Amino acid sequence: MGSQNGTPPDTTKPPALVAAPEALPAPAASPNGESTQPPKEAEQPVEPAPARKNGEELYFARLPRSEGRQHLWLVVGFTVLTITGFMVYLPEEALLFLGVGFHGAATDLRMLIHRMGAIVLFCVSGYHLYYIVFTKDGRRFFLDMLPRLRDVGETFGNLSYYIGRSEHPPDFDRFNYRHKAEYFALVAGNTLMGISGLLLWTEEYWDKFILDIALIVHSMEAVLACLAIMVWHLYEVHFGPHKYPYDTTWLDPLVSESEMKEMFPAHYRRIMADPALMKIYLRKADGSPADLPEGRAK
Amino acid sequence: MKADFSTVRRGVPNCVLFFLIIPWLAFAKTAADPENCLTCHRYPTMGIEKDSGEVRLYYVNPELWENSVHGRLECSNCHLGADEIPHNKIERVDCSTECHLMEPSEEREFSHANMIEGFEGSVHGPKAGVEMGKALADDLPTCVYCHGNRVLSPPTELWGKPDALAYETLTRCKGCHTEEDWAEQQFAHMTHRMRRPRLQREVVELCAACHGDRAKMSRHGLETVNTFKETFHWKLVRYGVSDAPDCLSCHVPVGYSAHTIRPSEDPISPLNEKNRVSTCANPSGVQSCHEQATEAFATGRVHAYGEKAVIASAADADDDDGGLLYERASETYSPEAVFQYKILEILRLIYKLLIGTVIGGMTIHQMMDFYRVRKNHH
Repeated sequence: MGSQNGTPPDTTKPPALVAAPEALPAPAASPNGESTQPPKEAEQPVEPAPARKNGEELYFARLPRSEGRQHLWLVVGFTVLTITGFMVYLPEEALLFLGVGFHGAATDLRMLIHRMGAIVLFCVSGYHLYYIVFTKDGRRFFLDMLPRLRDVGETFGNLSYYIGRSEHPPDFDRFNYRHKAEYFALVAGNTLMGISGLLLWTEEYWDKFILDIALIVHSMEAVLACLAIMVWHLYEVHFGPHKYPYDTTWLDPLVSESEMKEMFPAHYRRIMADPALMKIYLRKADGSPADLPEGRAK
Repeated sequence: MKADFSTVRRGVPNCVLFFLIIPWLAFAKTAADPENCLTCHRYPTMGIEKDSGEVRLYYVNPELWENSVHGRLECSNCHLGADEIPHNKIERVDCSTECHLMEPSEEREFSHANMIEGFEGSVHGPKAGVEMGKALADDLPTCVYCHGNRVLSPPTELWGKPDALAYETLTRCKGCHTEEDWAEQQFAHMTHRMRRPRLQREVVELCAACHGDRAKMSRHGLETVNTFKETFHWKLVRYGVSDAPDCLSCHVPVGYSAHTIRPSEDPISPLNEKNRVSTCANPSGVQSCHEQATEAFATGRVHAYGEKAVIASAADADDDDGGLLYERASETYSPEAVFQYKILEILRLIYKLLIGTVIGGMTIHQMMDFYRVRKNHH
């Protein structure tokens, strides 16, 4: 069963050294033997996950529950802040026409709700800091998320796949360059929005010039963040052909084996090569910990 | 954000005309018209058409007149020379005229002379007009520009307190002052100062009727009041928040008079750096605003950076041919303010470029992704 202590996974282990999927028990319900092929074909329809000997499909808990909940609160805070924030930049006549401006609702109530949203986001950010420092899952999340040199290669690899210069996208690990860019953009954006927002919240104590800067940063960063979420994240998890109509990973972290092989092959191989990681990630369809595949749980 | 003040601009001369005309008129059968002016002037078509085609109406609505602020005066008190018919020798109304109404505290004949005296030395007054020359002086407002012959308000709320308070007070007045009409009028006269005569938005529109006119403001070396419309203060005003700050909240806070507005360099101006903290905090007002205001907060620029900031930060800031706006630009914006303006503009530019490149790059990336996946499926 390997180490029970869940030592942080050795993310530096070169995935190429990990046994390829053919070393796994032969899937009983996979007559065409596709699982022995590197699952790189993007057009490959999502096949049913190969059944195990005991008849159960294998799933991967891509996000720990805590990360899903953090994401939920982030969504709540971000949405509230976006709506109440951009109300400031809507033409006043439009809001008055909608009746939102009635007796200061568009200002007093807006400000109150905006600050409540800010408190939600401060709490999520604070909890996330605690999470990545003091919990095992959090530390593993952060280590997996740290940019590495291979991300540069993968970026170019993926771009050359897009323009047709290569047949397959690169073998992505748990988080690829898209995830990492988004995560660190979120961290930077949250920091800037938090600081500038607090300055504006306590405006009476600051120089007006500082407030002018804070206002520009707060408003422009908001535009940047919202557009980035729409173009980058919502495409990734909603509108993009991979996930249309929506990706449920943040609510139900289970990802099927075939999807793991297709989307995150390096991570898949890394898990299958490391019993400690298997114990962390492998699940049955109902979310309970899965029996380790035969021959791998040494 | 771009507001249309053309209605106000057109409306103001009409209102001025209307209220100038009202005092000419009286209604023969009412007590308020002992001079029988309304015999003629009660007819809505009463007026003249000048050779230039301009039509002037001299109609007075008797009911409105009777309930107006000046409803107890005789027409000829203000319209000197009106007692002669036809009105050939009539004089222009001068609000400093003594109107034969007794001022009870000093037992002298009442007039608005002392207000006019304060007004004369203000930025809007005739003394400023002499300095700027005849052509520019024509732009300056006169009494009727802001003051109409207002119809007295019914006894409604005072300082936001419910109507009942006003009714109760009025009932007590009538205990001694048994002439009811008189009591109601006096009550309205006094309580007029206990409520907002104009909504904040109306105040802004009144000021902006001139201060929003770019051509007119440029002549005087001023920016338009559109710089106010990029502030949260204006948002509050526009959304009708009850304690929203309008022009007067800062330019004429409690303890100052709109008649004596002075340049901000003058130590008696509420916008002078010495008085700024108190102006922002407004501690003695019905509504205290930025109670914790510090000096650093209060001495900053409240309006957005306007046209003059653009001029002052440009390379040819001392362009002599640019007119008064160019001359005054460096007076309004100190080198420090210009520096801060440049920093803010650079920051804005950086963000625009950042948003353009980042979002543009993301869009291209996602489109490539989309078309690649589509290609694979076909």
